[in-house]
Amino acid sequence: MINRRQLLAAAGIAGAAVTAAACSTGGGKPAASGAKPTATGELKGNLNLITPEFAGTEGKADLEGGILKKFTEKHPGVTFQVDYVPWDKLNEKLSTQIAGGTPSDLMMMGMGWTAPFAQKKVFAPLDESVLGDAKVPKLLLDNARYNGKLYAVPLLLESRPFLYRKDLLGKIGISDPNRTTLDEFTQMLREIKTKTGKVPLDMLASNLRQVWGQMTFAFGGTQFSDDGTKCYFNSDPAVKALEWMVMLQKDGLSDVNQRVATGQPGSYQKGENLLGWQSSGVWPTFSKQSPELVKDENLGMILCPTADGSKKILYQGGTLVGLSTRSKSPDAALAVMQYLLSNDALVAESKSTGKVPANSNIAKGTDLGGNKIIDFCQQHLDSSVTDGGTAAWMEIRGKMDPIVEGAVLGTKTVKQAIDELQKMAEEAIGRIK
Amino acid sequence: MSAATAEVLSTTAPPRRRRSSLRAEKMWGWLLSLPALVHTLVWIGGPVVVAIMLSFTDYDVVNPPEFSGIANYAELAGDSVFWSALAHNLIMVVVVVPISIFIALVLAVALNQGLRAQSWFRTMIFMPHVTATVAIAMIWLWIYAPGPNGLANRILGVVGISPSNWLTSTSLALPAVMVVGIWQSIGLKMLIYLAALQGVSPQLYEAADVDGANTIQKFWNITVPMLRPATFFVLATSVIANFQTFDLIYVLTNGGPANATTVITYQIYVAAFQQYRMGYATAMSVVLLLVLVIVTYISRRLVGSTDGD
Repeated sequence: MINRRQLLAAAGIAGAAVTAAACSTGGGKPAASGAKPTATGELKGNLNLITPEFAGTEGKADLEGGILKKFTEKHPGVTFQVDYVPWDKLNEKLSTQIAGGTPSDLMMMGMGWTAPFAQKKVFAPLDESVLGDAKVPKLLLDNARYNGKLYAVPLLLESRPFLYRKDLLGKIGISDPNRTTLDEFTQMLREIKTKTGKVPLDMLASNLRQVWGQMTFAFGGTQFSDDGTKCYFNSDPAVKALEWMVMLQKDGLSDVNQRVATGQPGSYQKGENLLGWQSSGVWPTFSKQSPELVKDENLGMILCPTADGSKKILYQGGTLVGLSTRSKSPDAALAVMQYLLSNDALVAESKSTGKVPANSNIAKGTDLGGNKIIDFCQQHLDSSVTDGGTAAWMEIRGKMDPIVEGAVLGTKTVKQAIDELQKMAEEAIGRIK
Repeated sequence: MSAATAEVLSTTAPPRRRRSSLRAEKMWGWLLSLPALVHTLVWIGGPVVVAIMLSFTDYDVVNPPEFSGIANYAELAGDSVFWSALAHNLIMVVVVVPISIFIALVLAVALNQGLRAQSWFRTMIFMPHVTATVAIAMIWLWIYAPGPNGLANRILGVVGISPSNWLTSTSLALPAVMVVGIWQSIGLKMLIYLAALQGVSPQLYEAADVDGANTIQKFWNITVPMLRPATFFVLATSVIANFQTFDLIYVLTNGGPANATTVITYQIYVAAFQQYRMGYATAMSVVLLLVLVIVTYISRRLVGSTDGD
C-alpha cells in the first residue's frame, strides 16, 4: 500500500519531470554562425517554412505549385512543408513552435521582428553573400541586422502611401493633393472637410502604433537609437506626432471609429473618405470588390509630407525571412532564401501577395500583376521609413497600441501617454540581457 | 442479523483479522481512487506546480528560466493594465453572472410549465451554448458594426436613436461584450435549473396552495430555496467561466479600445505568446487562481452549501 510519504515523493518526482520538460528548449544543433549559401553540391533536406503570406488556396498554389516548385525542379533533393499562418496569429505560432523546440527552418516574419529573434538566438546570423545581386534599400537591411550582423532577408514590403480619390477631390477643386509640408497637408484636410462634410482621411482606423511610427519620422524623429538600447518615445518629434494624431481625431479629420473588423471593407473603400493611408496589398481586393477605385481616373497616390518639407516618406511594413539556428538543413535553407530574393521569384511573390518586392534591381516596367500601387511604391523605396529597431520590440509593440489609442480617444492626455510609452519601453529594453 | 449483533461479533473478532480487513479496505480505497489521483497529479497538480515555479522566474520561452524571486509579482503590483483587466473581470462577474442567472431561472420556470413547443424553446435557448464562441463573436461583430450598416444601429435607427460605435467606444465596448456574454451563457444555466426543478416535490406546491400562497410567494419560498444547490453550482461555475473569458474578447475587441475590455486571461495570452514573457504570464495565472479560490469561497458563503441544508 502506498503511504502518504511515498505519495508525496512520487508527486515531487512527477512535478520535477514536468518542470524539466517545460523548461527544455528542445534539441537540435545550431546552424553555423554567419551561414553562407553553398554555390555547388547537391542540396538535400525537408524544409519547414512558416509564412504569413500566400493565404488561401490561390496563394498556396502560387507558392507550392509555382515559386517553390521551380526551386525543387533544380534541387529535387529538397522538399517543403509549408505552414500558412495569418499575420495576427504569426507571433503566437512562432512562440509555441520555439517553446516546443521545433521552430521552422525558414521563418517569415514582420519588419522589426529580426532583432528580438536574433537576440534570443532563434535566428542564425547570415553571411552578406546570401543577398546575392539583390539591391535592398539600406534602411530595410538595417532592420534585418542585429549588432551589425545580418539575420534576415527582406522579401516583400507592405508600403503605405496615401491613396486619394481623383474624382471626388476634383469635384471640390483639388486636382493634386500633394503638399510640401505637413501643415499644408493638414490645411488641405480641413478644406476637404469644410467642403464635403466628410471625414477626409482614413488613417486613424489603421494600426495606431504604425501611424505614430510613420508620423514620428514625418516630424523628423526616430524611435530608437541605432543599437536599439535607447528609446526616443518622449522626444519632441514623437510628442508632436502624437499631438497631430490627437488633433486629427478631435477635429474630425480622421476617425478611429471608422475601424472595421478584419476582412470587412474599410471606410476608404466604401467611399466615406477621400484619402486613405492604404497598403499596396489592397490592390487585389479593390480590383475584385470595388473595381472603380483602381481606375486611372479615380485613383491617385502621394507620399506623406514631412513637417519641415525637406522630403517625403513612405512607411514600410514588410515580410522578411530568417534561418532557424536549429535547422537541420541550413545549406538547403540558405539556398532557398537566396532563391526567394532572386528577381524571378520576387516578381512571382509580388504578383501573388500584392506586395512590393524589396529589391530595387527589378526593372521598372516589369509586370507585377498590373498593381499600380506597387509600381508607385517601388519608385519611392528610397523614401522608406519603418518602426522597430530594438531587441525588446516584440514586447513593446503590443503594449504601444492601447496607450496610443488611449491618447487618440481622449482617455489620457498626450503627456500621460508619452510618459507611459517611454517608461514601458525603457523597462522592456532594460529586461534585455 | 441485527446491527447490534454484528457490532458485538465485530468487536469480539480476533484483532489480527480485524486489522487485516481494515488494511484490505484501505488498499481497495487507494486502488479505486488511483485513476482520479493520477489524473489530478499529472494533469492538474503538475502544471499548477510548474506554473507556480515559473512565476518566480524570468522565462522567455527560448532560453532556460532564470530565478528572479518575486520580481514578477512586484511588477504585477504596479501594472495598471493588469489591475484594469482584473477590474473588468470583476465588473463582468458582478453584472453578467446575476443577470444571466436571473434570466435563466425565469426561463427555466417558464419552460417547466408544460407550454406548447417547450422543447423547441429549450433547444433555441440552449443553442448559443453549443455554438463555437468564435462563430458567435463573428455574428456579433456584424451586429455591432459601426455606422448605419450594423444591425444594432439599424434597429435603434428605426426608433430614432443615432448610431453608436459599440466596439470602438471606450465607454460602450465593455457593456457590449457583456451583453454577448449574458446571451451566450443563459442556455446552460437554464438547463441546469430545468433539471433541478424536476427534483422539487409537487407536494410542496400543493401544501402551499392549501395555505393560500400565490405564485410569487411559491416562487420565492419554495422554488428558490429548493434550487439552492443548483444555484451554488451555477454561481460557482459562472464566476469561474467569467474569469476565464478569453475567446470572446480575442475575437470581438482584442482587449481594446485602449484596454477598455481587456481581461486577465487576455493579458496572460499577450504576455506569454506575444511578448515572450512566460514567467510574468504564469505570475498572472497564479494570481488569477488565488482570486478564483477566494471568489468561489465567497460565493459558497453567500449561497450556502451544495446539499441544500
